[in-house]
Amino acid sequence: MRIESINIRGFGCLVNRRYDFPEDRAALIIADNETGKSTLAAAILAALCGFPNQRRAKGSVTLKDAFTPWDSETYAVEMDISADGRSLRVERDFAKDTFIVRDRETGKDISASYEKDLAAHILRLPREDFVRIAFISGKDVPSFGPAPGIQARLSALVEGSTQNTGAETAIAALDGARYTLDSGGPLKTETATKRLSESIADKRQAMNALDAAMDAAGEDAGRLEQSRKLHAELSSELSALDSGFRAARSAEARANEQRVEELQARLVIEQTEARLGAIKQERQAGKQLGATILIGGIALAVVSFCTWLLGFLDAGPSVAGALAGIAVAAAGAVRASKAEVANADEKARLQRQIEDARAQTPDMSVPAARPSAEIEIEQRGLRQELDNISATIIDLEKRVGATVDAYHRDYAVLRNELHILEHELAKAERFGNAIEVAKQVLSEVAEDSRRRWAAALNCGATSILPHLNPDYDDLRFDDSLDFTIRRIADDRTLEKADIDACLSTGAKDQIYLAVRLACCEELSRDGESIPALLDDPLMAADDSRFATGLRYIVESFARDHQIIVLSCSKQRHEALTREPWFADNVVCLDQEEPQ
Amino acid sequence: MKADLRLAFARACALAVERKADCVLIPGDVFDYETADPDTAAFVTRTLESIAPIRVFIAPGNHDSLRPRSPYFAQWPSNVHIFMAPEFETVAIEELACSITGIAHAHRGITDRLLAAEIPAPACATRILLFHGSRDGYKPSEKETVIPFADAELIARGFTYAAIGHYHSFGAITDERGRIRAAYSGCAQGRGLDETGEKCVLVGEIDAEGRVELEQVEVAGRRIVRVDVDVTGSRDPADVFTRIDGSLAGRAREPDVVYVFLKGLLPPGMDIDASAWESRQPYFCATLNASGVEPDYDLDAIGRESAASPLRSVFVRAMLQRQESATTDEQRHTLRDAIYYGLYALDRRRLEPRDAD
Repeated sequence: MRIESINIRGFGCLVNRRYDFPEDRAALIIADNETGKSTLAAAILAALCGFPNQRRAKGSVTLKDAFTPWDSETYAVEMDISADGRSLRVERDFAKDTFIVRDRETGKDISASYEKDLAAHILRLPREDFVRIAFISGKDVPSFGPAPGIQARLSALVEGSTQNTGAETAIAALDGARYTLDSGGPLKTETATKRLSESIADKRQAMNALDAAMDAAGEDAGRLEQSRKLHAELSSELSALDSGFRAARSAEARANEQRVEELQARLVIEQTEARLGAIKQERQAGKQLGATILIGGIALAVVSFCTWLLGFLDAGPSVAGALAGIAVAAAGAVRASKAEVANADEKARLQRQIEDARAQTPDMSVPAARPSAEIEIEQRGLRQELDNISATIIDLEKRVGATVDAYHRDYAVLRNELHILEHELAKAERFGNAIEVAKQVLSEVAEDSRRRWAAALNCGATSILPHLNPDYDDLRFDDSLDFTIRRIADDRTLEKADIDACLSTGAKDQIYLAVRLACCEELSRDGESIPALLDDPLMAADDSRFATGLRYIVESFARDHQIIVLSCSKQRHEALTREPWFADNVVCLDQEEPQ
Repeated sequence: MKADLRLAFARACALAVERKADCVLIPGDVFDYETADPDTAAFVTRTLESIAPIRVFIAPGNHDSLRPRSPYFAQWPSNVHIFMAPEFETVAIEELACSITGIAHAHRGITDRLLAAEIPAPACATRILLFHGSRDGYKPSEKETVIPFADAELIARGFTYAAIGHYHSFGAITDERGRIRAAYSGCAQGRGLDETGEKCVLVGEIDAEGRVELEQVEVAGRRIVRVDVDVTGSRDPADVFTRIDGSLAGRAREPDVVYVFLKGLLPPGMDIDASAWESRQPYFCATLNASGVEPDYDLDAIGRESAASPLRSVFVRAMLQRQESATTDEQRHTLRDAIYYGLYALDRRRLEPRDAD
């Protein structure tokens, strides 16, 4: 790509300035400080790439604000370039925020075919990367860090990609691959699989818990069955006890009644027997009295007879006495005889009464049934046992019921969720694995690419460095764009950190310039040539190195690249104008008013 | 789906009446314990009662195993015998000179090889075995193993015929003389993509010599129909839909559940509007899964040295080499996906997970 001219209608301090850049030689613009030299560089950059999208923070000034024309209403530039084999005119009005690309041959607006950042579009270097390597400001030279965009572009170039970028970008895209879960937003695959695995573990745990609970419920159901059987058996036993108790209570009541009857009969018997005893005594007494009278009568009769016999008495009184005695004895005998049968009817009645009473006395010899009190104790024990079993049954029913309800409610849902999660996990894992494999293979390809572009870059860089600083050579990049150099004097290899810390400003200036030019050269391979704009290059170099370096740039480097040099060092350049190489390769431009 | 299952069950019972069956053998999984509700149990008992005096024998399976509050513990019609023991027991049907030996799964199911040992059963002209078990070598991966058995073990037990449940597809076991000795009827109604096509019950006849004849009779009112359609070469979505319609013609009926899986290659960027297709289908339910379609990258061409995009070429070559040395299908699938993801990334296309089906 070549910048042919720029017409600045209003940009910072520059108003209506036009610069036409020579086709075959480096352009040198010498101007004093504060006369718009850096503004010209900024205008070229803005014409090519526009301004970066910056948010206007409070109190801060955006780049676009910084170049608002001081004394012009117009904030616009026009730039003619040649690229892609076409002659283009770029018209940017920063005040109106318009961007037009015209085909200069036809005058047609072909903006639609171009990105606003023409460096990105034409050179495949976005503004930032373009500035990093091709807009070389003397004061910013000793800084060059890792640049993923440039690395990607280098990779793309070495990989032969027609795209802006190569494997690096693809790897970044794979790195950024996200898996969207139904239950959440896009996640890194590892996070998604971790979450899914955790969810699956939770579901399995919940299902295992339900299964275990069901196993326990199965055992509980067995116990419940046994308890129910036992309950039925005990209920039957209690029922039998209740019957026994009722029977015992009836028996006991009946026994009590019999006891009373027995006692009553005994009382009757005792009373009757007492009466019989009295009758017997009365009879005894009557018999004794009768016998006494009998004996007395006999004795009287005997005495009367004996006295007659002995002659103490006459026969008459003796006969009278004997007769009286016989009469008395007869009376005694009668009395005794009467006493023997006295109260015979009563005695017979009483004896019948006793027999009746004995006949009615209950047979207490029948063994008594089990006492109701004993049964009652057993009943109480059994009832307590039944209550306990009932409580167990209720408890078991509750537990089994709750478990079965929970199982019915949750298990199928969990299984379904688990099935979905497992499918999702398999999908996520396969996605993650495939992404990893793709990344791995692309990384291997990229590593190979990096090695290849590093080698290519080293080749160019090694040839550039001695022209800018002959004390060093062997500029070698690694695949992260870090680099080392060899100090010829002591054959020591210096890391970038050593370069930054130990080398003089001038040496660093020259080394970093070599690095940038090497990148420009490599990135222009197989594509549009990258123009380089050098704002006060090699400022810190001594006159000799300055001349050597500038000569290399305008004589060799400029063969393949457009070079625009801005400088405030009038004397240095005037001294060089006498050099043939300078005259042959450099055109000094003055600021001109637009035509 | 529940209504479909009930319809199939009712049709199967009606078939038993129509064919004047002596008995109905149900080797388990009449219902799913986890989801069965009292209404389901009532429907089953009512339906079985309606076919009395045909005797029904049920050997509970692992999904309707004897677990607490199982409907099997409730009152069943007198013509239904449920084997309730976790060991084989036998019921004699004297008028048929037949005995039915069955077993019930309890809780999580029996996993012992019960058929490796003798099964005591009274001598009888016709001895039928009824159980829910896993035939060695035929078990679908997602199925649990319950009462596993080898064909030889089953045949050695000497039963005239064994009605077996567990697998959802028909499968008969024959002896060395080619005589049918056992069969899985399969499920009576398909419920998922693993239960596609005709779903039948078996009508069997055992003659005096113990010869078994089986007839598959479809009772399902609705089929699950899956068709895989190769869309390679389709020029546009309309072309794809024409191919789908052609594949479904004669294979799916309006009451069916239709699942179409697209595979093959389509030009990158050609979108198939599945929901639009689904919405205009006459079927009971139609699903179109386009996740099997691969972008029409000519991997062989890309893999050949390409000056235009050597990176893609190098990448594809490296991936194809890996794919060639893959030893498992899983590795091959992963590598295939990886190729597409890598190309998507290189082409700055959106990275969407491909389906793991």
